[in-house]
Amino acid sequence: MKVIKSRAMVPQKYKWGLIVLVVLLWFFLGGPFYIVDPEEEGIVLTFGKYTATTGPGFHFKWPWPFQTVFKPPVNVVQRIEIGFRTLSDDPPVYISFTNDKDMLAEAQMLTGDENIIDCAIIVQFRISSPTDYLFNVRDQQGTLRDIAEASTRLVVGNNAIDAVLTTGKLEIQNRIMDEIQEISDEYRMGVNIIAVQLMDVQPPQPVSAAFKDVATAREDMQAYINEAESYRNQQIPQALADSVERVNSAMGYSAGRVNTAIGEAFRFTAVAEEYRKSPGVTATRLHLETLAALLDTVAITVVDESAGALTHYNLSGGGQ
Amino acid sequence: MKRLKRLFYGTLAFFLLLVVLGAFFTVSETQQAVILQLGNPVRVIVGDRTPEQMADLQAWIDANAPGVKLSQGAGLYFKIPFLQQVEIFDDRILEYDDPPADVVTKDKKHIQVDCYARWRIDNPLLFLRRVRTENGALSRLDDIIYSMIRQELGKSNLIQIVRSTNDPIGLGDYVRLVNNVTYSDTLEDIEIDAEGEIRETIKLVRMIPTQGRIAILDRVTTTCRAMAEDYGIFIVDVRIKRADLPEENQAAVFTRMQAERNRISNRYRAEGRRMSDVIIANTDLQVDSIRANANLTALTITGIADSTAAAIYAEAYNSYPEFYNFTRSLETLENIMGRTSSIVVGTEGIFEYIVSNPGEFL
Repeated sequence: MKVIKSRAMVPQKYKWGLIVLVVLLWFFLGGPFYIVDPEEEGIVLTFGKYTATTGPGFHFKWPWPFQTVFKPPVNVVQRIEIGFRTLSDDPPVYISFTNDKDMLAEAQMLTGDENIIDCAIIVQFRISSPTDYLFNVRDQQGTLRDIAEASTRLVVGNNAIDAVLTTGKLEIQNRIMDEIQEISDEYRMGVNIIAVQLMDVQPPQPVSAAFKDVATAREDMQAYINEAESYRNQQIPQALADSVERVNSAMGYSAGRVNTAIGEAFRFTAVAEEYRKSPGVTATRLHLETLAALLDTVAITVVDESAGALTHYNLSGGGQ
Repeated sequence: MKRLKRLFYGTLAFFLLLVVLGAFFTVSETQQAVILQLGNPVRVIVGDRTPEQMADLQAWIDANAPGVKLSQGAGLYFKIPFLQQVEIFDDRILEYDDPPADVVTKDKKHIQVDCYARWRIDNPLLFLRRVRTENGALSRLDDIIYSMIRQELGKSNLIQIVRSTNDPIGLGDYVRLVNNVTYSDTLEDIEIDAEGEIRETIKLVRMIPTQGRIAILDRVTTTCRAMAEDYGIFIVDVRIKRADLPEENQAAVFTRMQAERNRISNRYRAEGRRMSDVIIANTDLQVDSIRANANLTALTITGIADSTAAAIYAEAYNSYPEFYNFTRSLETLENIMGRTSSIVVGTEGIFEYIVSNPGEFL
């Protein structure tokens, strides 16, 4: 009865077409050959049991259901993004914690000093053991994502916010990487974590202005100090120059004073020596010379004693 | 008749095919299986196991299901068609993700905790008896993990859930990385030393070693693992994926962070001003002292010059005191009698007087 019924369902003219279709499907999807791409490895299962690993190229196999082949991309560096997603590479389109609520929830975490910080990270990994990767964990990507999130929060939670923001970045990346590797080894996932990068680490948006102001304040502090230092650099050389000038002029004065003294003393001694030889003549000569010089310039008024106090003769034009 | 015969052979061939196909089944590398005969387990096929795990499983079977055959490894297996059925289970590490839950910590803070766990069907026979399916297992895991997490986290302070080491905020490293940061139990401070280097002191929070996220999760994992054993499940680990403050509590943290930063900014600026004042004051002092020193030197030099000159004069004059008196008188006369002076004299005897008393003019 069954046979008759099925015969009625499939019209005679389509029968061969249907058979050919099924055979073709079988041939290409589960058939006697397969192609491994350069970045892949072929993992061959015979009756569900792992029997061989094959390299890139064209290979024959027993058709399904005898052999099946998995082709994990062992040479491709795969990546997991946390706190942001690359929606398209060209042109680059991202959503990140700055513009997406879900991403913010993923990126926002507590630091060890009970502050909040936003972190976007990338985890890069490669399949190191295709059999472990295929056979030991069911949802590999999801598991790695869970591990990465847990590890990031664990490590960031151990650090102060300033360490995460500035100086500790490298150390923190390494710690996260070690942690992810350790947990995936525990799961025997057969992956090698190549790198963990803190892509974007920022204080949360509501407090970012205050954080930026710290940097500005630091610069301000430096500016105040620089200003004072430039004052110092200007004032001290000026004072030094002034003091050299002051001392030099004193030395000039000193030389002049002493030399003048020596000169005058010499002249005095010379004249005195003359005086000693002939005191009367020299004294009179000096006296008269002086008087002559004096009387030449001085206004002289001669008063006639007999004529009384009111009579006088002005002998020079200059006197009054 | 001929048609009936064809139908008979056709049916026979169909059933033979079913029998042959039904006698074989494959267990893949990612699977494990239990063979039931009329509902009773007769054989267990497991995947990747260590010898110790195999021995444990064998011991469990001997105690709880004697007569069940245990074998290991993927491949092609045989069963009696119709009489025996195969239950296939996953042999990989499986995922469990619980929905984020609000937990109140010991210090009465609210925290949004999102956990995940990884588990494996460890004893497929027991698993089949107790929970049958993965969905059944997930709901049991929900019960176990959710309550254990709440219980353990409720016993800890927030900071212990966030942190996992006794390092002062991981400052062991921080100090190493930034060697001018130190930490103290109470203080939090920024100082700028004489060279203008900034030194920060950061408050450290200490924990006793049995606390912290890793310790908490270890305890949760151990307890959950023991409870899940009854379902033939092995819990690989339970981890906190996210433990964040609920939105309504974030505002308070933001306010505190802002105040903290403002304090640091103010401190920087105040320090800058102070440093600048110190430099300016020092400069002024230095300038004054440079000038004073120069003055002292200059005065000393002029003083010495004056005294030297005086000595020279004195020596010369002392040799001829009489002549000195005389010349000095003349000089003085010259000095007082300038161009604008005038002399009033009598008409008699002026020249005689002057000439006759040259030394006594004044």
